[in-house]
Amino acid sequence: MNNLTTTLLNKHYHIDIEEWGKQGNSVPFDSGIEQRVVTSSIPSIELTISYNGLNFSDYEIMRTAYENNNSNTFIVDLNDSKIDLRPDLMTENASVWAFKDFQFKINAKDVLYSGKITLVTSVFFNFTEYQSLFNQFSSYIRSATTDLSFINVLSNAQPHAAEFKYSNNAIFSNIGQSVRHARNKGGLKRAWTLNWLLTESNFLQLITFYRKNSGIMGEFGMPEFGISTGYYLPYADNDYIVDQDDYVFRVLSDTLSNARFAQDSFQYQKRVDGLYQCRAEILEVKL
Amino acid sequence: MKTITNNSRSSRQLAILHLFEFDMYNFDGTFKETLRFTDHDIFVDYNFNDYTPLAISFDRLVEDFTMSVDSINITIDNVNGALSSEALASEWRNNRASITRVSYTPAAETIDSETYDYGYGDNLAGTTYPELDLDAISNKDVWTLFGGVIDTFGASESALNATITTEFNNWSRPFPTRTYNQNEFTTIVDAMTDIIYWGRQE
Repeated sequence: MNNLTTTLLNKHYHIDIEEWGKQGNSVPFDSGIEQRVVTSSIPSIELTISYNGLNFSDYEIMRTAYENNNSNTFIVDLNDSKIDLRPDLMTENASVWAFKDFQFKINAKDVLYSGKITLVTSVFFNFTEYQSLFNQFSSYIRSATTDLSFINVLSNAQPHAAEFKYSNNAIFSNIGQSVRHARNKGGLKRAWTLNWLLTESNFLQLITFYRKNSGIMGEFGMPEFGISTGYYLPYADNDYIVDQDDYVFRVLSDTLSNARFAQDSFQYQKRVDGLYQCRAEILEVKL
Repeated sequence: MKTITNNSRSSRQLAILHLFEFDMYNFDGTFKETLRFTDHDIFVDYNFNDYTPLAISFDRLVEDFTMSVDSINITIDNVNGALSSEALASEWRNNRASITRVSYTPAAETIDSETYDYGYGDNLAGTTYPELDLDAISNKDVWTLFGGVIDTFGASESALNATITTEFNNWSRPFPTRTYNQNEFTTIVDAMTDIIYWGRQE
């Protein structure tokens, strides 16, 4: 079982926690006395760990950790802070978690990543007696491409913000609020949402590309966004994204993913200042 | 006999868990193993047997005084696929299935010098893995909630569903519902008088 304690906690700045105690219900008797009936006995916790100001290589570490553990449980040991009492109840091998959510975002303001991941406790403990019963694993195979058609459009129609998440079709079962089993189905896909503010000529390039490749009609190469080491674009000196010159950069060192538009429709706004504002969801597809 | 004694009834906190047992036979009719599961969230040790924690749910039990056949559906977590491969490799049907209900008062527990009246967890100190030792709990009641045989089962990717019927079923119908191949019997009388157990003949 992998230990992601350092990877996930190294650069976080905030944790939101929800803890469930014993779960059950109460039965009122005629005498007025209530009898409490409990079922689960292991505390369940949901952690939402937040990050801010990550550069691309920091994000890449998080991304790799998620991709390699998307459908299995892993150890995150919070023993020092006593947030997770399971190490006291059992041993440190009981600090076992599973990914519930993974979302990051980058925008033109600082061209750095912010985001959050959500973990839920697992009862698939790291003990031989448990591990010998069931197998679990995760897989992710990058669907790489060299297609540059979308990149050529993005070089003019540059997004000012990009959001990252995953589409995961693994199935999970639970006992109480904790994950019990997960089955990797090999279908992990990256998903992006791009946000644009464009001049008409650049927007027309984008909408034309969409008309040619919308929905299931086309696949194209999708880049990652962020700053490679030593490469930085200062944010324009204004508080809001109003200028079409503000944009996030493609990470040149990262290979392209084969992807397509996730929606069959494209919504956009034409503003009185003549600029076009729109967003699109893009989903990795396997070759 | 469902007798909830004052062992657990007099306490204001009552924990309930269920123990499930399914006898599995090889296709040649020989006994293979008894599968033991619990809907608790850690292993449960009872009568020196380990019950594996799985997400299991079952229908509400209905009792009446008619002699009708009672059956309930059980849904067992099959996400790891272990059960469906077991189900295909051995015979479940017409074999013993039981649901046992256990009510007990969780013992007090001290964690980091704080005492919890009703144990916060159920780990046993000194064991190598988390396990609830029911034998060591004196304030408990154990009774059989349902005893019968597995009639039919089906597996999907996420769950294994089984219908278990009471043994009354056997009074009116000596074999579980199935479609027989007529080639198994040379005459109709053979088919009517023979008692067929799935996968084996007794």
